[in-house]
Amino acid sequence: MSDELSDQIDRLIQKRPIYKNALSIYRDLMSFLREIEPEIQYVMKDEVVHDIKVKEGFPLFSREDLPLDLKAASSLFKRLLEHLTSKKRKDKEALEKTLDRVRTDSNWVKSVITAFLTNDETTIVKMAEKVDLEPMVLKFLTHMALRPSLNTLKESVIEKIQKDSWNYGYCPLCGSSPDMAYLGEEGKRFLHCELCGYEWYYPRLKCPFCENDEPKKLGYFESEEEEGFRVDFCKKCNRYIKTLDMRVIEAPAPLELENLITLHLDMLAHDQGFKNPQS
Amino acid sequence: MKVNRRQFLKISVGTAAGVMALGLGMDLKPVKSYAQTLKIRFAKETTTICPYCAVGCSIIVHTSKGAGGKVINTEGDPDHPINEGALCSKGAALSQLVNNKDRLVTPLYRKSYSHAWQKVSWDWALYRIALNIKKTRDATFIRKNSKGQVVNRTEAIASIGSAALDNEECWPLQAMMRAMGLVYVEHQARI
Repeated sequence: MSDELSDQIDRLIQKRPIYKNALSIYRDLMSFLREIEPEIQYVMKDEVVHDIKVKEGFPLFSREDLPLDLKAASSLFKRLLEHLTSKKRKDKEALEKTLDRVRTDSNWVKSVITAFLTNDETTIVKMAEKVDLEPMVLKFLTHMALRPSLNTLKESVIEKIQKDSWNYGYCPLCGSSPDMAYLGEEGKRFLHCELCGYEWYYPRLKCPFCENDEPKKLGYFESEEEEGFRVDFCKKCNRYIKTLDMRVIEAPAPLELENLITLHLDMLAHDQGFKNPQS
Repeated sequence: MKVNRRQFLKISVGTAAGVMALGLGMDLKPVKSYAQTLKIRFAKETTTICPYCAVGCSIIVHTSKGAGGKVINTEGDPDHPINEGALCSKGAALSQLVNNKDRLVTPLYRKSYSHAWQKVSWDWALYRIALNIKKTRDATFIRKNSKGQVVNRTEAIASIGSAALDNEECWPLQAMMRAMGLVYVEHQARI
């Protein structure tokens, strides 16, 4: 893990002490991933990317047929569990149970990954409950295990994405919804893909989920105590997205971390009756 | 709000929040308590075209929901092809057009040789202006020029402005000025 990220995590812990525990675990896992990175090889499948797809508003891939190295991801999933269970912790039992399952049934992880990529929440919840694991933990670990493979894919096809002609609220690479947005220089809005982390430009006064662009049905809320963070919502489809104003926030952390330490904003959004994009 | 497993799945966006459950099990009480201490305010964004000059820059106006639609911020519209988020210093200060304690809300009049301004009514000010125009125009009106050609003009009054006027406003302004014989009808900004 880079020192810069570690420093950023220190800063975030100071800023939002309630997320200290989660941030410490995140730091530990990132540092572990960094350590074992040279040992994992990712095999890129040769994929023909049709330019016509982008022109017609289709993403390069769909979530279920992403050319990912599932073998490498499965092996990383196991190593993450081995790393987590090597330490004393409250949820050690459930993690060990999961690890046992992974060791005895080689197809188990693949089924989890498939359920994760196809957004099959019911299967995820069922599979997690069988090993006494929180479904959110299972999703998090699956995503963590897929990440290096997703990054390799992203780097190899990034040139194929036509940045200027993409005006949709879903990721041009994998078709997923955005999980966060940020306002960059001169206030341009960019959306961040919840799965592959790709970022793309999207107009400010338009809902990424239902394309509503009536200003009267759009709005945002923010808290006086947290300058630079806001929650944009659409009253037509009742969905929301958290937005960071990079012009205001000093030394912003990677969006994934900013997403984590703004979970209270998700709670407030739900209290106001808004839903997140995946629901 | 009571948060259980499935609700947590619904509440969090993306997977990063899973690390919360990894660390603490399902204890989200601290997050909930923190959320309750925050004072939230609602606002909305609408676009408008800058009133100051003919370039036509687009501006995003943030208005609060609570305080009767009060303007809380203005910024250049990054999605507009003309200005792409940029604004000149005058356009950037647009919010001061409404939120400004020094903004003039009545006409002011300063008497000759006086150093102080006094508030006057619109009726008084308009009557006074009309009187001065009539007086100056009558005193300086030129019916014929040195070559004997009919010109019907006054060179003692000029009209300056304004970039903030639209086509429909410029038409009666021009018509009125020309009818009175003005030849110096100008615009205050040359950009």
